[in-house]
Amino acid sequence: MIDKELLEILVCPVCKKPLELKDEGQSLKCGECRRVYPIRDNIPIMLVDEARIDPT
Amino acid sequence: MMPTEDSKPQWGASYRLIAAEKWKAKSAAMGRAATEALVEYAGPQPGMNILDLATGTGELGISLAGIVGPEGRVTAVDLSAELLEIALQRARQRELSNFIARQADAEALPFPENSFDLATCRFGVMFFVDTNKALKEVRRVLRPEARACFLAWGPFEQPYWSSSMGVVVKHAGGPAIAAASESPFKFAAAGTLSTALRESGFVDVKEETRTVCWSWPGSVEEVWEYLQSVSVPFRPLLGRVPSDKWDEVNADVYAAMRKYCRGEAVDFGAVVVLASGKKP
Repeated sequence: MIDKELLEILVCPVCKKPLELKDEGQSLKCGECRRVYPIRDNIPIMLVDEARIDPT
Repeated sequence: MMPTEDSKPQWGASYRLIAAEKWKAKSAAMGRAATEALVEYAGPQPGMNILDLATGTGELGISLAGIVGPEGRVTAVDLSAELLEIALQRARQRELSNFIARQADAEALPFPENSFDLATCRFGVMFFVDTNKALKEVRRVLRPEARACFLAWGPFEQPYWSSSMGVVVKHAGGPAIAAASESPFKFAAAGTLSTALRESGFVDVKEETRTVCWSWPGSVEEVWEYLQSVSVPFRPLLGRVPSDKWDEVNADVYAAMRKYCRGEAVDFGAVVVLASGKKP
């Protein structure tokens, strides 16, 4: 599980808006564009091409 | 979707990771003086919050994490998760809990503006596809008055490259690097990196060319094997060598490199460009 305080300094690379933890800490979602960025082995994958768009 | 072999250099390709792991001690030794030159140039202070771009296996970022100490932090960014994994392992071995890794593109950084006290990049600025876009992103995430400091390769025409890839070019023909956008030598000409920094809104821009120690603590055979595996932009050149010509190419490379043998080491020296700019 990734340090919550450290996540606060991350924003969506597209919108530059704050992200929220999803999937029990396994991903980060942008409230603006709904892109979901996965976290693998403690490394958030903040690549636009690797993000999926959450329909909800 | 991952970039494919023909669209983008594969910095995290398996052959490269195996080489990075196999040769990590000797490559770190060879690159140490370049790392130290950039550390000295960037002037990190305890407590600083540093962004290290194109971290790779953490050569520079880990040194910086030691300097900024527990009150500071180094945020390491790279396109390759595999290389960041190696960097994180090295940080853990040194018990550096202030070294964190994010897989990200310099052209679309996942940080708010005014986040960092210093940005650094060792042998990476040349590979930003859209230099202007990436440097503007770096400027955005820096605090006002904070500096971005870069180390880039000097010209192809220097011992390390001309005794290796330069020899291959003579045999294989064609350009050393297929696309100018992927050239490690993009900022070799004096003033080009300064211009790029100014065009991206940096002020108080400085640049110098320096020769630093670049010495492989081993044989010419080893350094040539290492160099072929890690130098991603040269893959197309190496691919053009006909298979029956390799013995000749290797013999010529070894002969060219032996001119730089000093005792048990191959002492090339490296001509590098150091440049920096300040966010207004």
